[in-house]
Amino acid sequence: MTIANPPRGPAIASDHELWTRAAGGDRTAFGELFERHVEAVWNHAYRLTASWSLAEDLTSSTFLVAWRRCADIRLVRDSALPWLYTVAGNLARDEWRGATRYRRAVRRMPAATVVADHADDVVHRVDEDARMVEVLAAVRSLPRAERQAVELCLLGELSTADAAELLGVAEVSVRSRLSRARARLRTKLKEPS
Amino acid sequence: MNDLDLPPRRTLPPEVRERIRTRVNAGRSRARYRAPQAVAASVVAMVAGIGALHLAASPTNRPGSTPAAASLTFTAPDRQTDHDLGACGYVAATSVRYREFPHWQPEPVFTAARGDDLRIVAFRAEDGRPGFCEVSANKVTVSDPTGASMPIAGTPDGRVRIEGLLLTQAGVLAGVATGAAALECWVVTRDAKVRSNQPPLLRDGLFVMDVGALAVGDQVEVQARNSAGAALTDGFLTYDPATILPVGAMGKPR
Repeated sequence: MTIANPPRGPAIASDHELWTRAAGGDRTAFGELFERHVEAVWNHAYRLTASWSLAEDLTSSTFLVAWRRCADIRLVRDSALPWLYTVAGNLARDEWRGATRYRRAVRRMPAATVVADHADDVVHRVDEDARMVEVLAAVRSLPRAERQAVELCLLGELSTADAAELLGVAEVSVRSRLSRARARLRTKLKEPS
Repeated sequence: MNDLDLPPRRTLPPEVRERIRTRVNAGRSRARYRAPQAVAASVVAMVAGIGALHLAASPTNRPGSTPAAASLTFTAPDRQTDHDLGACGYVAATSVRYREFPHWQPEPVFTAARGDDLRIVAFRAEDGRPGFCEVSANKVTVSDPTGASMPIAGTPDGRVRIEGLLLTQAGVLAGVATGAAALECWVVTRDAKVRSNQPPLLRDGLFVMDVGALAVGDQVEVQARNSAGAALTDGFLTYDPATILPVGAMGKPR
């Protein structure tokens, strides 16, 4: 026996659909995009800043930029995430260049981010933050093209195909940039700080 | 992941999600710039023709360029400050809006100087009204004298307020910051590039910041902070010659 009209849940809109509606001013659509990607952007923002509090600011700013710019932006491969990661990357670099909040925060690292918490967890977080600071310093020393590929693919865990489309280069170029970057990073991260 | 030995991803705590959502929603409640390029360009041409701001028509404002803003520094009021205020008074008195500058007895609050021989004097008029006077080698610009302003940010209770009074062709934004101990500033361009600017100079509730060259649709984001560095409010000003507050007077130095 077959059911002629099986019950179906509400259709899940693609990022592209939501993005198009948001570009037309649909706040609900943008809200859905926000709920869908905020956790990924927040995690990526941490990997770009080594600070959970900065990651929170960066995530807010990223979605605000997305809201203001979504009418002007064409999505890559139907996912909003690559573009959101790029905006977060621009904002994070800006923080770094701007030298104010970010550098103060990094100088305070890791003590300032460990507020009330259990001791074991605190130690663990301190280790994680310290590792991120170390990795970020190495990533920032990479040539621009390699750094972009690393931010998107290694820190952001995007596919090389998505990164290639976003960066406007062939996928093979992204792969070779990543390969060179990995070699450099291995050397840098072995050096005593 | 991962060959960099990165910390694992975390689940976003609900309270953090809520804080981010609140901030994004607050930002979204403000209008979004949506003017088509062609219309914007014609507005620029029209406004430039009547002598108001036309930053977007300057050669440094090609699409995609994001020139960095230069740095401003405080300088102590001195003889030069008096000279600059005199130059602004002269331009105000000889402008078509001279009747709107009835009491030109400005009391300087501070002077900001930029490396390219540009000086901005923040002052208060006799009645306490704030104003700004920008002097370069070949141009003098005075802020609007009527008390009109460009709202940038503010808390709902009105305790913190940031308002722009003057945006000049030299890329200087000056205004009033009530209830803030410090400000931070970013410029978000139409292509979503972001550049940070030197923190605005702020003293006695008046601020001056260098926002660099702006194109139509670029947004100057300003965040107010308290003395502990905590964010109080933030907002932005969208550069659009059709809506930017006109300057009070502009002319050549004597």
